[in-house]
Amino acid sequence: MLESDQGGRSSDVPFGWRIVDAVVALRRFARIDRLERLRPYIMLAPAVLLVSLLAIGLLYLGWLSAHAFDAFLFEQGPFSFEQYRRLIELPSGPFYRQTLYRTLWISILVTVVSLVMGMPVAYFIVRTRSRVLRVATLVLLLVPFLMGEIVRAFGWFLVLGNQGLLAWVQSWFGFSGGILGTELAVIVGMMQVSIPLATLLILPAITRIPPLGASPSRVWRHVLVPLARPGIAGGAAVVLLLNLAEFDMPAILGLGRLPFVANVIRDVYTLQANLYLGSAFSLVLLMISTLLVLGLLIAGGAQRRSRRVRSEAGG
Amino acid sequence: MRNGGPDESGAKLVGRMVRFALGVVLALVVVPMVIVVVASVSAGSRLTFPPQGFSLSPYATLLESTVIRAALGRSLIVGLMVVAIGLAVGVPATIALVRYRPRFRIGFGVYLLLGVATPLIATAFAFLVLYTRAGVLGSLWPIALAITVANLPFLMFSVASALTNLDTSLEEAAATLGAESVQTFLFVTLPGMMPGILSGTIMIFVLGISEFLISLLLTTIDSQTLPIAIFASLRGPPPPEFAAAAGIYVVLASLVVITLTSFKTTEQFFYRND
Repeated sequence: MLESDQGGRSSDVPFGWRIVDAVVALRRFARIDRLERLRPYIMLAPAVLLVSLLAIGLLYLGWLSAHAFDAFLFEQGPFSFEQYRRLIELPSGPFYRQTLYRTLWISILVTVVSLVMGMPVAYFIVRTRSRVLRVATLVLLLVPFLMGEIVRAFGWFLVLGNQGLLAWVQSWFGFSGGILGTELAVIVGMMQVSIPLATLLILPAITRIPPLGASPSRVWRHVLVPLARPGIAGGAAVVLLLNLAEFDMPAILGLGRLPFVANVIRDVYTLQANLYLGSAFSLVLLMISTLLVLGLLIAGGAQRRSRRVRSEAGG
Repeated sequence: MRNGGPDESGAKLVGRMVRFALGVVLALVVVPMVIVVVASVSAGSRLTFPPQGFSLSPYATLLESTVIRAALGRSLIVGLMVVAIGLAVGVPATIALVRYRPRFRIGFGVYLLLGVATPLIATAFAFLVLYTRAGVLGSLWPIALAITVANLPFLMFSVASALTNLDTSLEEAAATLGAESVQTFLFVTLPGMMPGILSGTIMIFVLGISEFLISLLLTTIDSQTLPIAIFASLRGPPPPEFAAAAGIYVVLASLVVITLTSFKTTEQFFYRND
């Protein structure tokens, strides 16, 4: 191979090399180096454009939400805050508000429980000496994330449903009464992906903390939790965002009796064909989630900064 | 270790709590997964417990069902589109952010996270109003675009972690030895990034074919993807062929995760020390 190359017979040069040579020649010819300074921006442009679709969509959402809608003529009305008023005032205001509260309290509860359960699991993954156990736990935690929302709900429906696993187990003990249609069912279903996600997000923060000699309970209280705090705050933000947009568990495990914001937004679209009210409710959720996430990130970051200041002051 | 007694009992207590949490979490994660797989190989026309016996008939029924086959086909097309768009857009952007350190680097990075920082229902509704206006509802490519926006960061994180672990001195050495920048990129940088690109690709493909909420708002009756078809089946005890469809997702997700964790970069990603 090498010898024939040195022999100079061009037909022996691998095809790929000739393509590369052509590209190099083309670049020289087009004097692409002139664009050197612009290169990172050119490389970023397609991604920025793609994400701009969402940005434009969100702006359009804001535009629609600030207009009236004539449901009979199916026309856009004049500029008004009618949609936001409908979210608050009678007749349906209390229903929307109740939906929002339910979404918030269940999401926050699930997030908190996920962090509380996720910390020890992350600790186990980092500290266990058995590589098999560590990898097996990681694998099991990642699978629910990739199998998708609907398949998770499907699995829980088979567990909690009328003729499901839980009812079967209960029949051994001679009692019945499923939890389908209750808050508990929705919460349990949401945990299946929230806890793994919280665990995986906390993991890097805990990995960074070296094992210490002090008693475990003290290490937890005084070292692990405070040092992992920015990681925990970031993890909480991601898990909370995921939970606030939950759809399947309320629809399937809650039997539609306990709708979340996402369920109501979809109903407003499919039943009333009202893009305007849906836009307003989407924006309300977006604003609340942004505030909560920023609050969490600031809480996580502020702690770090104040500690740095304190350690600098202490010498 | 001053007072051994309380410390030791404290250690035991923490150990017990860790084991308890681990047990609860693994049960929550594993039980529904196993049930789906069990249901997908059960006999009987409706899924009930205890299963009426072992049978592969759900998978046979699935293959016969034109509705599910069509939905599966659409999901695969969407998944491939998500990969194509994601790679074309995400890989150059990641290289630019990690290697070239442009001005407003943080700003660009945060902007590209928009799809993850927006609650999924708001993302879905934003695309719904946009596509309604543009009149493109009912095609598959708009769905793929929307799903890519929401999942792009997963690909970019994966590529970025491979790229940061890559030793820049290799590229410098190639350049010193006279390699053109094109050659350096093709024969040094790209192969070095390959594990990250590969795991990111697999991840967004699986996220693309299992995506639910965006598809729910953007699909019409004629363009249902598989997750939407499964959702529509969940009105009562689901027919067995849908358990088979769900079973495919569980098996696929498990295979993918096992493949990903066998890459060294995945482990490095979770144990990174940044």
